[in-house]
Amino acid sequence: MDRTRSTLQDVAVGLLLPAAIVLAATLPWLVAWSDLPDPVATHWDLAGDPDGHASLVLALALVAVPAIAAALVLAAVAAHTRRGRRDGVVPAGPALVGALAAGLGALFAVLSLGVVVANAGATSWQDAELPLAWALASVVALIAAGWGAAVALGPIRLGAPAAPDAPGSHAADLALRPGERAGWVGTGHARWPLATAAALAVAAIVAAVVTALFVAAVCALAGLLVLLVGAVHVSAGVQGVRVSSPVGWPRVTLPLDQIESARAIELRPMDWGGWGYRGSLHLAGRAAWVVRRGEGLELRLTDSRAFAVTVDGAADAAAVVNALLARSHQPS
Amino acid sequence: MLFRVDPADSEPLFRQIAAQVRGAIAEGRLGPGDRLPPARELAEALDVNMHTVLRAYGDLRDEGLVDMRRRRGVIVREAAGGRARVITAATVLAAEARRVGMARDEVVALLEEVM
Repeated sequence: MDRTRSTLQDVAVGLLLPAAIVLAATLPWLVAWSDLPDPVATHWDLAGDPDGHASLVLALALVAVPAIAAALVLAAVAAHTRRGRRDGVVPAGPALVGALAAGLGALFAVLSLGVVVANAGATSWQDAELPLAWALASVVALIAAGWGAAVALGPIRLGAPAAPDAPGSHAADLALRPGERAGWVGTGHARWPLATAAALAVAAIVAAVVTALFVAAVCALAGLLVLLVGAVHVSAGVQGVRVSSPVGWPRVTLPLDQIESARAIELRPMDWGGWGYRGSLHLAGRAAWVVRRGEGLELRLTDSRAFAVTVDGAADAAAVVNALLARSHQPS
Repeated sequence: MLFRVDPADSEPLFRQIAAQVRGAIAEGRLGPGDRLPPARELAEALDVNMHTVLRAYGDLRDEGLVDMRRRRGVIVREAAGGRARVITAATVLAAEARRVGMARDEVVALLEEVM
């Protein structure tokens, strides 16, 4: 990353975004103060009609203070990680805190603006209507600001969690003759995908009969999802490591030139954030495809990133990857 | 499952692939009902043509070791283990006979004698 862009990012995330949050959370109150009823409406039902209120000062404190606090945290974290980045290391913890602060700050700023807009000009709090769009806008602001800050503060690199070698995975080196090719294809299966899917199918039928079609649809969809993510296909060879669902999509490909080393680990789902596709190589520098606990293939990637997938026979897969890597590093 | 092929070997690639699957079945690493790797995935990993893999799988089917079913993939048949061991032994016998220069008729006669 070149220096100008990184300075621009630092200014945007460390000064402009916090300033925008503070301004959006306070300025509207100052401008509209005389037009606001006291108490003001502070809570609305789904139809946009007010169903909760608070005194003017309390309402201001409830939305403006958290926004300002979040903005200060964000500014502090940005200054902190800027120092870190000069040394070439971006600490993951502070960057995540910064992203969270940015998201929450934006959320409260939009909520604060919503309270003022809804109450301005109303004679009493019961007349202050707030369209549902504000709720959506606040969620969008939360995600956009949090994502943007995570990118600007990063790159965040969580790295691979410590994990023991898979039992019985003696690191048997694969010595390839010149010109010889090695490939590996395998699968990982969830423990009870069919039972879980069947249970969800029964739940869907029961729900369709006794409750709502909506609930039935959710159960049926969850059942399909379990079948889809109940197994994972893994192949390793000249194309690198490719991981996909049984139907071929979604699919992740890690070319050999992005892999530094491979090994078989005893994978604990919670180390990687749970089951399914967890994390993000782009945002967090760490991702895993987890369908069960136990044997898995761990890849250390370039740029301090890490990837893992639960698969049977991971030791052979790791041996193939390492053998191909060793060959690609040899001068040809 | 791990595969190794060598394009410089005198055996054609499809025979090398078939021999490794047969070996896995003979040793019990692949059992009845197990599925062979999808041909496209294996071809990609070994950087060979998909038809090379399909030809290897076709040979294994002709040997009675696997069933090829549309949509369900290639599956190891019941009692394929014993059959795989006999076929492996036969290929070893044939190779050894060729090496020491035994005539084909001689080998066939020998087999009939020991059966």
